[in-house]
Amino acid sequence: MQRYLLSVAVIEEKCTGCMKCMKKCPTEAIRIRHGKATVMEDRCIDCAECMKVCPTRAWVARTDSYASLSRFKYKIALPAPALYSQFSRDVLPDTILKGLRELAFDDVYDVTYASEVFGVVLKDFFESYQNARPAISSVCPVVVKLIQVKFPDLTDLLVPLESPRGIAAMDAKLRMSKKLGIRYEDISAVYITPCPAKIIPITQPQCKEVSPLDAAISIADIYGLLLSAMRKASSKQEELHLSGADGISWAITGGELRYLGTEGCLAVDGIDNVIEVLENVEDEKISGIKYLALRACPGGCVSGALNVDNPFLARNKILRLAQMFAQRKSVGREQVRAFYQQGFFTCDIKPRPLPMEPLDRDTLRAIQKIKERDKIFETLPRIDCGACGAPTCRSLAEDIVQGRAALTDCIVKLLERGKA
Amino acid sequence: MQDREAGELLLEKRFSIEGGNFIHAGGVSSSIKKILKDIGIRSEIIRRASIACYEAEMNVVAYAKKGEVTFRVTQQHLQVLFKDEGQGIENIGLAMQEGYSTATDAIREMGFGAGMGLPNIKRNVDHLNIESMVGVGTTLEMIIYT
Repeated sequence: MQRYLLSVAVIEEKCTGCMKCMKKCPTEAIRIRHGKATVMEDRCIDCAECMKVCPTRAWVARTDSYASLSRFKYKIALPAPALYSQFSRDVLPDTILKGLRELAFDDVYDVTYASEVFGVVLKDFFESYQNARPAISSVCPVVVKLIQVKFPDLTDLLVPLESPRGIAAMDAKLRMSKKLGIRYEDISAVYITPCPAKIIPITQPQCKEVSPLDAAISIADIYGLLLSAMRKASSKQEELHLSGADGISWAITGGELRYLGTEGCLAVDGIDNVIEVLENVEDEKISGIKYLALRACPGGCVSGALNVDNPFLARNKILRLAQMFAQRKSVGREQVRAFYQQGFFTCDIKPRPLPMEPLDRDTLRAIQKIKERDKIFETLPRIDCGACGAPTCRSLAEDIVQGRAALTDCIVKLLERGKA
Repeated sequence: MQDREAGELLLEKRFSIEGGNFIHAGGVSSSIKKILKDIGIRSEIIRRASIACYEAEMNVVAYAKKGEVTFRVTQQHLQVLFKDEGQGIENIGLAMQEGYSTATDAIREMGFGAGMGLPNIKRNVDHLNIESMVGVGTTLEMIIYT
């Protein structure tokens, strides 16, 4: 089986083993071993909660570095809609796009424009959708991964459309290749990302056989460079930013609702809330909902781990921009049709289930392990102190049964024995 | 009811349900779902069991004072017994009809009591036995073959 590459990694020298990430991890994928955080790769869903909570910045994103972009012949910058929320209130998207072009990019492409096209296509999909269970947005890679790992039965519900950023990449490359008369293959699309997870569909494509995007660099990594580039950028009027309120709103939770309406469409954000609603879908407790707009980060991409600004301020700025460009006409049917004809939306492959292993592949042995685990759990202090290196007493019991830990790892039990 | 041909009993777990406590409602069915995932039971079976258990659990919460759940895994099947102390079901035949409900307005306001509970359980299990005595309580046994 293909080894799963995570979008985050821990720098051991910086890790103090403080357990904050272990406690926060929504899939209990982190253990502290020999005083350092380690990840169980098959459980990680790339949500970067560990990175957000780490006090010593020991967690880093495995995004591409700015320097590494020199490996590409021609490159286009494609900023996530969230980038428009990262500067002071009077900075307009056009200025940001101009600034990006001043950096090591040959061109820029306004992803919010492709998002608007995507929204129209999503609406068509939504209106013809016939299934007792709701379709689930496949835009957030963390949600996709969460479903593959924890809710494998729901993978079929993921919307089978290329993401707005993927569509943007294809359109950007096609335009540039026509404009400059260069080969499509020689052009690289670089996503300016607000979270580490966006690197995942690039290395492990989930719609097209080959990802339309070629690299992703962190907003935080180029923020300083971009700020000074924006100051240098010309003040000449240029129409780089093309979207209206609909396109800009993709940076925040519920961007889809602008197209689909609130009837039958539910927007949920925050990884724990997303997990809860997926449990409900699995148990068929949700009715009257045709579409779930799920985002792992609270508030949407504006609170991704690689942003610079306060998520609430960022959200406010997106709302403000949306208002400012509310009068601008959204994309028309002709533009959407042009995208359609290129086959931009069609998926050749789909995300496959990657279910967490049961306690044992052999049913009888799995049941035996459940019994042992529960018996061990009864003897543990059940205060979930984490000192053993596992997030909860229950997870320690499971680790013991699986041979990943020992009963002597429990500090409380050790103290009890010392007293006796 | 318990001595159905089942093969060896592999695992047994007991849970209790507090009637009227809608805040914690659903806890037992999610515990059962978690155990089934740990065992590695086929996902289709887990899905059916989760739906049926959730409906049965909600019935106890909505209509009974309290309830006990016994969950058994045998070599051939899953058996879940919901035994409650509550108002009981007057006419089981009627209760099995879709849309039939005796729910109070208060319960309906919370989004329950649409009369789909028992029919939905029946749809998802292989055998369903209901014994009930008005004013005493209801025992519901469901079997799903693995």
